[in-house]
Formats: sequence, C-alpha cells, structure tokens
Amino acid sequence: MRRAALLLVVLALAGCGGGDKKSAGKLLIAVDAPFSRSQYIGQTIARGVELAASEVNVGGVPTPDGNYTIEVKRYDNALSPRKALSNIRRAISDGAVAIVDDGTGVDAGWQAANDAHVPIGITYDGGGGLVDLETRPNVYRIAPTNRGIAFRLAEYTIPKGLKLALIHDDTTYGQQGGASLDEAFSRNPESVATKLTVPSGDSDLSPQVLRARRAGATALLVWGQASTIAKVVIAARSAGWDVPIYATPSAEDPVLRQQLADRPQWLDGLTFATGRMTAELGPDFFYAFESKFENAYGAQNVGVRTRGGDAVIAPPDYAMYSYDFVNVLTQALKQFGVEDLVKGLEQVTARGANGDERGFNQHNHEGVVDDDVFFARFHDMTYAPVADDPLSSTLPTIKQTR
Amino acid sequence: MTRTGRLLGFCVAACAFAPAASAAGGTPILLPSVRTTLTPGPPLTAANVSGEVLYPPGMMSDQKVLVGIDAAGKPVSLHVVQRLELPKLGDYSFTVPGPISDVEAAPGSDSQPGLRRDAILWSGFSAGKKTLAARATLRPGAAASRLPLRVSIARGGDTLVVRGENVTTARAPVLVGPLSLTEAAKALRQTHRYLALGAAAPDIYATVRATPLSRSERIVAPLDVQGQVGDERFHYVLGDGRPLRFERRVAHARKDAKVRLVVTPAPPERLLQTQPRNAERALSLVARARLTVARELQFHNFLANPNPTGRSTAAYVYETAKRSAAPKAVTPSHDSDSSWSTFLAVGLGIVGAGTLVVLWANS
Repeated sequence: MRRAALLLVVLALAGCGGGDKKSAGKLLIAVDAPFSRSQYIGQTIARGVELAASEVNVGGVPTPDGNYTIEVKRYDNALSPRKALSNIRRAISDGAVAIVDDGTGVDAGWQAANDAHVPIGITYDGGGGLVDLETRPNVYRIAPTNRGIAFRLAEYTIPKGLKLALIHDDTTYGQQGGASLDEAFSRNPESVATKLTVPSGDSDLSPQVLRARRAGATALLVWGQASTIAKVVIAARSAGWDVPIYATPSAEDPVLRQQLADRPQWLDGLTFATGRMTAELGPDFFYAFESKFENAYGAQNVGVRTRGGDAVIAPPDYAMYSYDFVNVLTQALKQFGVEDLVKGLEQVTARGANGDERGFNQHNHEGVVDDDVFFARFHDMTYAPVADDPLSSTLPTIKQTR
Repeated sequence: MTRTGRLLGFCVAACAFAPAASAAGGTPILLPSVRTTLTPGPPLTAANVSGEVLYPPGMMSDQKVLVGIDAAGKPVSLHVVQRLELPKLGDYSFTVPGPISDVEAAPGSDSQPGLRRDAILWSGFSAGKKTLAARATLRPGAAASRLPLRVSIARGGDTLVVRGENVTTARAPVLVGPLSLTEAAKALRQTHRYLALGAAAPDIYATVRATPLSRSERIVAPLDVQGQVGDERFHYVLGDGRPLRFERRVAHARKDAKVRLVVTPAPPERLLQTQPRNAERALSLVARARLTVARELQFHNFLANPNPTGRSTAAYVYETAKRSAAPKAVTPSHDSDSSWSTFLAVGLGIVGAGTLVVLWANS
C-alpha cells in the first residue's frame, strides 16, 4: 500500500510539467471571445483565425523545431473577465502557443499567459492600457486603438466648429472610450458642450439626449455598444432634433441597423470612425480576402435591405485583424519557433489582408497605427468614406449589398 | 563584381549602345552618376531588415549626427536625429536600417517611430504634410567606422592639440580617355548647376571619340569643419585640392575645455570650377568631379533616406562627452527566474527521489 502511494506521488510529480505546446505536430491557437453574448464579434474573430489557419495548414509551418500544422480551439468568455481568465488558464493547460482575444480577458489573464510565455493578440477592443509594452510584454493588438479613434474624431470634428455632447455608455467599452475622448478633447474644451454617461441597459435615452440639447450641443458623439448608439439616434430623431451624430466602430455592428430597420432615414448621415479596410494599393486585396471569407463561411448578413431591396452585408473587416494576427504569428513561428514567440513577434511582418504590412516592433505592440482610422457615413443602410477628410477621401467604397 | 565595377560596366555599355553612336565625331557616353555609392561608406545598413517600402513622392531627409568623443577624440557615443519631411498625401511604410539600439520621437515629430532589431520603423498616413523625426541611439562600435572625420586630441602642458583627418576616401573606377575641352567644360558646368538638386540631378552624357578605359582612383568627399575649443573658433576645408588633415594647437586651454567640431560634407567647388586644359585628361577630370559629388551626397545619408532621389542633408557634430559606463549584461528577469526555479525544481526532485528510494528500500 505504501509503495503504491509513493508510486502515485512519483507519477503525479511527473505529470506536473504542464501542456506540451507542440503535441503530435500540431500547434494550438486559442480563441477567447464572447461567442454566447456577442455572437457577431465572437464569430468574426474566430472565423478570421480559422481562415488563416486553414491557409497556413496547406503547407504547414516550418519552424526551427520542425514542421507543424495549426489547430484552432474556441473558448467562450461571455464578456466576463473571470470566465476569460479561466479560459486562458485552460488554453495554456491545453498547450496553446498563442491566444487570440477580443480584449475581455486581457486585464485578468495576461499575467497567466506571460508566465507561460504565451502571447495574446487582441483583435477587437481598442482600450488604452490593454496593451503595455513595459508591463505586459506578451500582449499585442491588431485593431484600431481607442486613442487613435478619439484623436481622429477630435481632429475631424473640432475644425467644423461644433459644440459636441460626448456621450458614452457604462460598459467597459464605453467607459474606456469616454476616457480616450476626454484626453483627445482636453486641449479644446470649447468644443465640448457636455459629457454624459448613459446606462447601456435603459430602453429610452430621451432624458439624456434632452440634457445634451439644453447644454447647447450642436452635435452628438456617442461611444458605446451598437444598441446605445441606436437608442441615442432614436431619442434625438423622435424628438425632431436633426443633430449630426458621430460614433465609433461599434456602429458597424448589424445591431444598430437592425434596431433602426423601420426608420432607415434616421440612420442616414450618421458618421463613424473605424479602421480602414483598404490600403493605398487599392481595394483588390480586401475584395480577395472578402471572397475567401465568404467562400468559407458565407456573407455576413446584416438583416436589413436597402430602399432598392438589396440585402445588406457586413464587410469582414474585424475578421481581417484576427486573420492578420495569425499570419504575423506564423512568420514569427517560422523564424523564432515556439519558445521565442513572445519576442519573435516584434521582429516580423506579414502582408495583411488589405495589402498593408502588418507587424509589431520593440517599441510598439500595436499593429494598426493611429493614422489608419477613417470616417464613414451611413446612407441607405450602407456606409461610404466621407469626402471631407484627407485620408477618407482617398479610400474606395466597399460594396455592401448582394 | 562591386557596385562601382557594375557602374563602370554600365557606362561602357552605354558607350556601345548609345542611340547616336554613329553620329559624326563620336559616341555619347553616360558619365558617372551622382547617385553612385562607393564602399566603404554610409548609409548605414543592417542584416535581415526587410519589409514594405512605401512613401509619398518627394520625401526629404535632414539629419544631425551627434558624436560624443572622449578626451582622446575617440567616439564613445553616437546619436542621430533624423527628420523626414513628407510633403505630399499618401501612405508610408518603411524602415531605416543601422546598428540602432534605441529610438524615440524627436521634438516636432507628427508620429512615433517603432524599433525593430537594427531598424527604425515608420508606418502611417500623411494627410498632405508630415514630419517624422526620430532620435536614434547607435552602437558606436559598429557605426563609428562610417564617420567622415577621425579626431584625435592630445595635451602637451597647457596646450590642447586637436587633429582631424578626412577619412571619406574610397576607391572608384574613373573613366579615362580623350574628351574635347568644350564637352568637358560643359559637363562640369552642368554638374555644378545641378548641385542644388542633390541626388535628383539628371544624368549627363558626353561625346567621346574613343571608347574610354577605366582606372581606379581615390575619391574623397570634401569636408567643411567648423571648430571650437573653449572660446577659440576655427574653420577648415579638408579635401577639394586642400590637405585632408588639420592640426589646431590651442594654447592655455583649460583642463575642462570642450571640443566641438561641426563637420558638413561640401561639394567640390574647386574641382567643378577647374578649367580643363588637356583633352587627354579631361574625361577623367569630369568623372572624378562627378564621383566626388556622389561621395559628398553619400555622406549626407548617414542614416538612409528611403527615397533614393530625395533631398538629403547631414551635419556631424563631434563634442567631448564623458565616457558612458559599460552597460550591464541584461538578462530578461523572467528568464533568470525561470532558470533558477528550474534549478531549484531539479534539485528538489533529485533530493525527493533519493528520499523516496531510501524509504522504499527500508519499508
């Protein structure tokens, strides 16, 4: 009995080594995203990763330690940091070489990943502080940053002489965005009429919109979930207030258009800032990526139609970011292998889905530069780049109907 | 085959295939380009730096190379402040290579530079006008050999002796053969007129009666040196028919007197204004003059301007500095932690296994 107990102890000690990162010629990439709570975001991120992995696996990944294929595993964080931390621990235990995250789990889980020398790639949330070169050396991001979006919004709206009501909701996304707006507009307080925090759960935001109107606002800038933007639009337009409304990348979410489907004219003119889909080389690269994406998963239907009856689809722009992250990761694996992956990511680039070079460096773990934010305006349930911004005016309109 | 050798081959090939080859009186040949890069020399390079090169047209570079020298004149620190001006709308994405250990945005920069191993990374969008300014720290051991001036400082009693030597010399193949004096004077005039265009200067042809040969010659970029030791100021031009060295004795120099030398590559004004008098040597005179201009332009690109025809200017500032302490060997803390913890785990494992074996044997 005693011998058996000792044998068990020895066997238990032998099993304490953690997950093998290179089991059976496969490298695991974990996708931690809110599949159950925000299906659009979760699916977009995971599909971008899976599409890149399927392409890479055709020839495999020749690393200094041998040739591997990539396996992708989904973990649902349900927008809960606690759940995300648990996912990250499970992913490490499963032997993941990298984790692709929407951003939910990064504050809670980066340390666990760093201890295991596993890089995290954020491909949705642009929140400041999520990426920090000094304190979070294993965290990278390919997505527009809140800082870039806020400064570009300030750069675009201030010269128009507007008095803005800066509105953000009480979600983490909204609060982080509100902080970025405060910083961006700090040198031009004369352009801000008021700042409001609105509850994301409320069904009617009329009182808050009325407060903004009484504060002398001549434009509304909303940073929040798509449903919050929709409620602000409804509150303003139903009160007969034809005020210009500006928003953030969440305006791309189909939820906004679905909630305004019965009053499409209310959406017309809403302008939002988001990451550019095309590079200077033209839209061909993006269309090629979109075509591959649709062949694999079908078009992302928004669920609304134009006045002419065409079905509206959402371009897979955020899928592009997770797709690009996997391609940069693959280059790092090829050159530096699994063991040096966290540092290796700083030294490589890959051709992005839109034709741009994607990569990081020793001073910057952001793969989308602040300049790469453009402005788009809704018309007839689709959006097109604006003409009164130097960058946006150079960009083509991506087709959004089928 | 070296780059200069290939250049000569190209020039000779141009002789053979020039469109007006059969024109009465001679064959047009391409004179050496002012974009010729001679070795050794700048711009600084690095291994394994690749990536996209994309910039709006007309990008210009201006840089100040800050050389910290010790009490003997040896470079002990090297920083470069490079300002890239983007005058037009468009995307940009490129790296500036070199033995770069660190980089930060310099005052006036509209964007933040990134750091790759041995490269500065710039990426973004210019809305019509943008300044990209970086202050890069270079590893002096690797970069000092490309500096244009070698400085030595000695002290004899209360006299400080500052010596400087122009070390921009490189060998290059110079075209040799007869050329009419009129053609030579015209080529020199055109080269002088195009100096303001820098590397964007157009190529120049000359008509020769016989296919030229080549001869390897030393080419030196003239240097304009403005110096200051304490309150005493001095000025030298090294090269362009003048000596390549200077020696300045500063009497009654204070022990802590700082030496400051501002070195600027200068065009070979004397050479370009030489009146050709011998037709047999006229072609080599013109070729030498154009290669000297090329060498001068080369030293205006200590850090490369990714736009090869963009205007580039550089000034090298040598200044006495305290020798910095040798940097400590840096080991990433988590690595050392993990190796210690591995040692500990292995040690404990061995002890534990031994104990288990003893227990087992005694049970």
